[in-house]
Amino acid sequence: MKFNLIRQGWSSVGFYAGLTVFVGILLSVTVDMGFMLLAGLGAFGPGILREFGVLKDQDEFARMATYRAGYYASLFAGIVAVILISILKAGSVDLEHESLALAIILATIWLVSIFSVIHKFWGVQKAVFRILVIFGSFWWVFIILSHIKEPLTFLMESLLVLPFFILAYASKHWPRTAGALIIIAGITCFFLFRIITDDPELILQKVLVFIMFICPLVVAGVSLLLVGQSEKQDL
Amino acid sequence: MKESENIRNALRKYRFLNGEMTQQELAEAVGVSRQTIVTLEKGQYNPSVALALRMAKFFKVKVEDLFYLEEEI
Repeated sequence: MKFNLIRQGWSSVGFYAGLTVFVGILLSVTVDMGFMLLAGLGAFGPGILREFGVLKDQDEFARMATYRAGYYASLFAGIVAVILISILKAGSVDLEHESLALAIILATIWLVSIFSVIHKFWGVQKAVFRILVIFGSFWWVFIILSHIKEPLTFLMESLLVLPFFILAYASKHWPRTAGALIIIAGITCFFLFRIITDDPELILQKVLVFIMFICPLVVAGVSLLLVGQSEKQDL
Repeated sequence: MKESENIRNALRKYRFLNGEMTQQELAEAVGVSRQTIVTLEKGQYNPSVALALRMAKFFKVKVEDLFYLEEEI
């Protein structure tokens, strides 16, 4: 079985892999944790198939972007793993939380890879714009699923998603301003979610929120600031 | 040892000289995605020797006409 999707530009494999990860996470949260296997399949399956030469959906630029993303992911995951091991070894968190620690490492690998590839493919502005829209859209889907029968709560919670789309629009037109606002939003979330906690039960959850939500925001904000108005990209 | 040098390219010029061909047409001609052509033209990516040779062959020029070091300008 051989695929050759090079000429279609952005590989549709990435779309289906992302969809598989999303469905896997959704099912593992709502039905059974066993569905995490599905998410793992989506996250790591395409790469394994590519290395075995079964899947040929990348040209040399895409391959370089993927390898580079893997390098960054290993660096970040290594740092996160060392921090987590020191937290677990310090004895402040009991071993019941080990599965969450592993989830954090996996999330780091996947997120850093995705962000790195997106950044390489689209450049900072387009990447930040699309990441914010995707984040906002996913969050909104979860709000719809949770509160579809409570119109008032649905409307109120939908307002929380609005800043994502406003910042996405701003990142396209005023990158520096948007960058500064995104950094402020990240710092606000840091304190809003009380990331620094003494409660051993909550340490790993907080680390997960920090890595999956606050880090991407701050990195996106800093990247936009560095791009600056003068290098405004062709969108 | 120099770690990296800026490589410039004249892809846009040769696309224009070749009947104003689109990035998609060039991508199809040399067997890569349009995104690769976009990043090449922006100077965000340096091609492999094989791709550079394929492009030079396609445009019927020398590789150094298409790609050159910044200091050579």
